[in-house]
Amino acid sequence: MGGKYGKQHRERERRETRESLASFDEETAWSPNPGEPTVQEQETNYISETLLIAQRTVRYVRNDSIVEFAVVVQERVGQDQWREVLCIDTCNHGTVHRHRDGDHTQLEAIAPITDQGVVQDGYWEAVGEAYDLVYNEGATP
Amino acid sequence: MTKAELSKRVMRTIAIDRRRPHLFRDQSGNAPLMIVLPNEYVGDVFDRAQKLSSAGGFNIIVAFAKHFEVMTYDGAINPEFDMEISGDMSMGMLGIKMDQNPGKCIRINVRGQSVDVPSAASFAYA
Repeated sequence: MGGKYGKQHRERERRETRESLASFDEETAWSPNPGEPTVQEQETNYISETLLIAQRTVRYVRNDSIVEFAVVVQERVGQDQWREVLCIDTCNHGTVHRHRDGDHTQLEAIAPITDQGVVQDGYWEAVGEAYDLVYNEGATP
Repeated sequence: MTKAELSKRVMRTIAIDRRRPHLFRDQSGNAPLMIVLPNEYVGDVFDRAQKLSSAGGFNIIVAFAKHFEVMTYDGAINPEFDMEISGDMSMGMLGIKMDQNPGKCIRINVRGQSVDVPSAASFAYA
C-alpha cells in the first residue's frame, strides 16, 4: 500500500515538475540577493584514486542557507587529468539542472528555482544522485 | 547503513549544519577529504591520504552509524607524543585510542610513515 502510494506520489511530483518547467519563465527565477553577504566553500571527497565528488556551496552568512551549489562527479583519465561525469548545479538558467559528460551546452532541467527552498532541496537531492551514481552504478551515467 | 548513505549524510552535514566541523582548507578554500568506515585498515587509509594530500593537509572522516569523527592534519601542529600503530588496526580502534588522549596532538607512526593528527573531533549528523 505504502509502495503504491509512493509510486503515485513520485509520478505526481514528476508531472508537477514537468508542468512547472514548461510554464516557467527564466526571467522570473529566484536568485540570491547580491547585497547579502555570502560565503563560498568547496569540499572534495576522494572516493578512490580515480573518482571524486566535489561540492561547492554558496551560503548566506546571515542564516547559513544554501543559495547556490554545484555537485560534480569526476573520474581520473590521466596523471593530473579529470573528466567530468556529472554536474548538478544552479548556475545560470534559473533552474536546478544537470549536465552529463562535461557537456555544459546541454542541460537537463530538474526544477525551476522559484525560491531559496528549491535550491536547498536541490542540493540535498543532488548529493543523493551523485553518491548513488558513484557507489551503485560505477560512475557511468 | 552503506558507505554511500553515510557519505551522503556526512557531506550534507558539512554543507548544511551550523555545527559543521572545522576542516583543513587549501589556499583556494577547497577541503580535500576522504570518508572511511570504522572497519577500514589504518594503513590503507593513511597510504591513500598521503598520496592525495598534495596541498599539504588533508581531512579523514570516519563515518560511524550515529556520528562521525574528523581527523585533520595540516603539518602545522606540534605533536605531544608518538603512537606506534599497526597498519592492520581498524580506523574505529584508532579513534578509541585517540579518545584516550583528549585534546592532545599525536604523531601516528604507521608502516614507516608519520602523520601528526590533533585529537579526533566527533559530530552528529544533520
